Amino acid sequence: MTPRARAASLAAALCLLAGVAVWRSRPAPAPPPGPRRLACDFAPGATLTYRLEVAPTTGDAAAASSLRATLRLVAHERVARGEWILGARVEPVAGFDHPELLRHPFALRVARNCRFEGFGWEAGATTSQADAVTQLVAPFEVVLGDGVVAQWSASQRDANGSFFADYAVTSWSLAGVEATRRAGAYEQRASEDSPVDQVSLTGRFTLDPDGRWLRALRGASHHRVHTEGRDLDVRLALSLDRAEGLEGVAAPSRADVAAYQWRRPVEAPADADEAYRARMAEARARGAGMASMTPEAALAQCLALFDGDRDPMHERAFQHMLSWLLAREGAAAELLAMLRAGRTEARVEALLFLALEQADTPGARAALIEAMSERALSSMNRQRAALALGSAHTPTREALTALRDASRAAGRGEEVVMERGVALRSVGLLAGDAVPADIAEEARGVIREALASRDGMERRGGLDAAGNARTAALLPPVQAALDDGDALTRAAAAHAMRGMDRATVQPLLAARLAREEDRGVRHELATTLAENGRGTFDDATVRAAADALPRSPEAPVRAQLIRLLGAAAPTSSAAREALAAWVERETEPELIQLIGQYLDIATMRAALARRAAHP
Amino acid sequence: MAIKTRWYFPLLASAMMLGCNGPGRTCGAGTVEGAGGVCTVAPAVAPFTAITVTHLNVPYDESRPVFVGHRLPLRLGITSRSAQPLAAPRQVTLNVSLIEHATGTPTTEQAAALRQCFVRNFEVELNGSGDEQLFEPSIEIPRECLPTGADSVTYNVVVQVDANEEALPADAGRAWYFTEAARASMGNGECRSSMDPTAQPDGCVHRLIVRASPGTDISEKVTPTGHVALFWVSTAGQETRREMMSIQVDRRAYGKDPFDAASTDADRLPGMVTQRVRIAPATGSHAGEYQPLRVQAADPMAAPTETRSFDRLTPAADNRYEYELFPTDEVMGLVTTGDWRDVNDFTVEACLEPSFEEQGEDGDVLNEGEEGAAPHSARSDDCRRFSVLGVRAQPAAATSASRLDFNREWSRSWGNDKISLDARFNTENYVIVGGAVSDTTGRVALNSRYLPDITLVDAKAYAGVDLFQPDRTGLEFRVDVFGVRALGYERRVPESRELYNRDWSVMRRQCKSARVSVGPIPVGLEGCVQGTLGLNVNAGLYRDGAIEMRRFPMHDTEGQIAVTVTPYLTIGGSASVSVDLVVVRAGVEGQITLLDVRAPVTGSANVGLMRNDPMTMRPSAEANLNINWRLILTGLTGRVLLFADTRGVEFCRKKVWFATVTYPCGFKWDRRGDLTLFSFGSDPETFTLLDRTFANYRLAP
Repeated sequence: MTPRARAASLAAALCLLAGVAVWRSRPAPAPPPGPRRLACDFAPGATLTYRLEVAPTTGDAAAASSLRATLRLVAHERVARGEWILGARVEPVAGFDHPELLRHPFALRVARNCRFEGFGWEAGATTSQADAVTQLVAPFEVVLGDGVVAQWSASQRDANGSFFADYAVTSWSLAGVEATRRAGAYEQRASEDSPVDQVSLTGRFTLDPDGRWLRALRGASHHRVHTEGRDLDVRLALSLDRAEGLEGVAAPSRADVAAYQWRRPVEAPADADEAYRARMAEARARGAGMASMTPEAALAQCLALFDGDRDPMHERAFQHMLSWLLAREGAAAELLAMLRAGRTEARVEALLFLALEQADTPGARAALIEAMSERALSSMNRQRAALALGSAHTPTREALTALRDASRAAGRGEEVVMERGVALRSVGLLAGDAVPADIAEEARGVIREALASRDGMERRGGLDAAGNARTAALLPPVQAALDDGDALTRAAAAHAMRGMDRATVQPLLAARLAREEDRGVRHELATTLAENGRGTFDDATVRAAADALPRSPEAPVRAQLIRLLGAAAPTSSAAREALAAWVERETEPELIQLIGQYLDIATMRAALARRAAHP
Repeated sequence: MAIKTRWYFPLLASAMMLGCNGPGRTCGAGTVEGAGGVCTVAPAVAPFTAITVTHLNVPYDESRPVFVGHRLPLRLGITSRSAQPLAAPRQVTLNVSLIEHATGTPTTEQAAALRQCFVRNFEVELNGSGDEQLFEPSIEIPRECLPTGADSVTYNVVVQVDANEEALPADAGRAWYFTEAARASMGNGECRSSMDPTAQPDGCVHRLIVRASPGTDISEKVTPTGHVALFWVSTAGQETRREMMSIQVDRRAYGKDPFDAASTDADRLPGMVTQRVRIAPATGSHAGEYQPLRVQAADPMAAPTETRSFDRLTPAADNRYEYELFPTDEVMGLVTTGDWRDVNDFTVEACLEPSFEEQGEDGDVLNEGEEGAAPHSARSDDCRRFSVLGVRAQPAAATSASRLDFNREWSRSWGNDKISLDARFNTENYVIVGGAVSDTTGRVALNSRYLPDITLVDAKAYAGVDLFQPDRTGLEFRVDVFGVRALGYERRVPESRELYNRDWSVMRRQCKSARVSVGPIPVGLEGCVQGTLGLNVNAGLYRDGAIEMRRFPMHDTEGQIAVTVTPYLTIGGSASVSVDLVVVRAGVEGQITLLDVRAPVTGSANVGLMRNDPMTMRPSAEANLNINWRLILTGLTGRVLLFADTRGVEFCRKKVWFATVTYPCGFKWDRRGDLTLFSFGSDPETFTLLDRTFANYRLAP
């Protein structure tokens, strides 16, 4: 007998058995319950406990281990539109790297259609705690349809984006309503550069017959994380079960919940601060045991790592010094003393200042402030200290004050002038929009003062500082400087706009390019437009660049204009036409070759033929 | 990854469904009666109603073995259908694997014992139109397809829609076993091996004899940086002959085991490989008459050479190199005055010539309708050709009556669509009647998804002497590091002399991090760039008495610039993406040297000004100018790889006598696989970009 025939026989036998069993066990089947309106509704004071499990299914060792937790809910009150406020708490059971993040009471506002309308947190809860809880709970969110329907769609969101989920009731019974959830890709990502795509989110769940949310859910998620070259697939099995009678931790009381602050249920991904703190935590962990290391020993090891490594980042030497600075009390001051005494090797001094900047401890910042005015250090090291102080992760008023004072230091010597300039430009790093408003506003005041100076060099220093700040708050004085009588100042003003809002500055720069006579300024305008535009250029910019080509006898300026048009070429036929036309007139062979990088070979062949016909 | 045999499951399920239908019941709108007497609705509609493999061809002589670690050409025709037209094609993941060939129809026990090996996943975009779409995935046979001790295993091909793919209804066919058993059961009744859509289906049973690799096969892919090649008709002075263009070469070695823990020489080839590049007219009577070109030498100080040799390639990875191409004297003779003087369309051919006999892919054949050599063959895939347009070029005139100019720009891009570096260095040096200027700039920008997108350095050094308006004589320097203008220094030098000697350098670090989550699973992404950036300036501006030895003592006044400017940076990058699950982690790791470059420009200019030339009654000048510009650089080098690990025992392989044994050699994380995403192997290079001297040159306004 073939497998097919065997299989058919087996199937027939099973069906027969199943039919007999059904016939014997259901002598008088009750009529099935019909469709009805689905909703989440609770009784005040009702307590629900769930077992949650999230298990990775990627790889052969699937489900050998998983994340397991208990979720406790207490229904507190029904508010407007039938929403319920629940007190909630998660108790991690196994598998979590940071279980403490989850052990945090929260409130959950559940809509009548079971949507998680909001999460509430007590004062002092951190983003990490909120993220940990919401991201654990969010995959279990189901959203019910309006009215008596068997199929519906609902818009939902998680940490990475929003998506539509299709729901369908598969059975109506007295034990509860069974339904499925099926979602595909994100309709909209939480951020433009989010590397995560949802491939699918599926589930089969049973609703509580009394409307008390879920009885059980079995589901799966499939996400794709985009990397540099290949994508990583993350597949998870999701499971939730009502655990009747299970004793768990207490959910927060009604009085507690009343004091909570409501936030959106899914927070944005962790910010740069958290990434920085994570890096510092790693560096601290690596530095365990380094507290007793003397500065001499730390520097000797740093030097050995620096010299013994061909890695251009000198990552090991850098991480070593960073860990040491974080591990040892007073290490920054000791390092400064070594620098002051000339007991450091010149080739690692740039790295030492970078380590002080990245360590960003109060001691490190104090050492940098001291170093800026320390005459025993070289001028280069004083400038490194100024740049490091402005670049440190934590902007402080002390740092701003020190930089401001250094930017106003008296003297006309070359070293003083350079140190003053670096300090002023570092002030710009404290004037950005991400800096606390009071510090940023004070830093902008220092910059505005420099921009109003009668000294051209100081004015240009102020423009550089404004450019480093990349804030629209400083656009008016920068825009005014774009029409300055001095070409160097106009070039500095153009450069200062490189990081400002494209839609605002591109027309200003293009208009200036259209009438600019100075070659250096045209070069700077073209460079800034290319950098600021990042491939998006309006017609006026393309026209200004094309018109500037014949007005630019200097090859470097034309090269920059060609690059600008080349960056626009993929989306602008005007840019392509301008480049093809310019092939006929270009005198520098290298620039013809440069144009050849932006046009297809047929267009280029035709342009060269026209050029040959009209030498 | 094991693949379960499932060809009888759909049959069983169908049989059960047919036999179990009960009497009709009354259910609510949108629902039907399901098992157990409850009302059910049909599952949500998947985008496709069916996905079918309608064409499978292995353009390979199946009487010849297919080798582990080598390519297997494959052509798939997929027909997808959807109930309603799709708004856009949908991406679907397909698996290709091999199942041991069995004659006839095996029993269930025999079927369960058949060896299977996973080959690869690949994604296709299906349109659901019902029309066949063709795909040609590149496949390499993994080591796991040949069990230890076996000489060979004969396989059939299996294609599956990925088990986690929700593009199909749950009950739709997802797996196609192109076996004799499936053909007998008409399981693959729609599949034909011929490309001809009207050909009769034949079940697409292909027998592949998998054997151990007999040796190494190498191949390359060549990408030019543009469509224009410059033939420099003359380059005055002694600087290196200017390059005509540059190319990017991706080399690949097949047949090596990248995970062979016992071998410390996994990247060593069996012999040397020589790279040659040639050029020939693309059209006309001389088409195909190839002449050699030169590429830069391995020794960065040596002149370009006609051959480059190497003996290592990272296995299972593209090994990327950048070469600048230079014409030989013979080529220059041909394109200027010889037989190619009227030719503008050329073909450039880059070939690898191994000293060893290449092995593998012996059975590659052409697809129907194709001409020429088989695309993947041990002996026919070592050459690549591309078209270029030739332009006869002359450096812009350095001299005119009023001006003496020495300018040069050098630019280069490295990388791929994921990570790229653009470097540009420029020097302008000129003398006019009233003075002299030296202006040098260097700019390097990085574009990448996970490293910070940033201008790494932008440095400028300017020195100018103005004899008519001495107060405009001066120096200017500026340095932008990591997008921040850190230094801006300018100094007017109305006095007669200024010396400036400074090495300005800082070390910067910037990381781009993101921590996202997939449900409760954290995903960490981080890219860091760190390095030293600097500008070394040694400049002097002198006038009249301050000049140690005046070159033009008879003139009214004389100015001198003596300048050495060296912009430099040494910078590296690292990237990591980690998905730390409880049992699985995967990510990208690696470190690369982004750029290590120094570009010293050394120049001097003397200008003697006669305010009122007795001959012309106008100002005139006499000038000496010499300039030397070298570039010493190493571009993108290093390796970044993707890894996927599962917790468990780690296994290694080594050769004991004549057998390869597998043994546990670690614990905790078992690397299921890794794959080099990119491997950059730029060589150190040195260019003399300018080396010129002009003496006693007369200038008039």
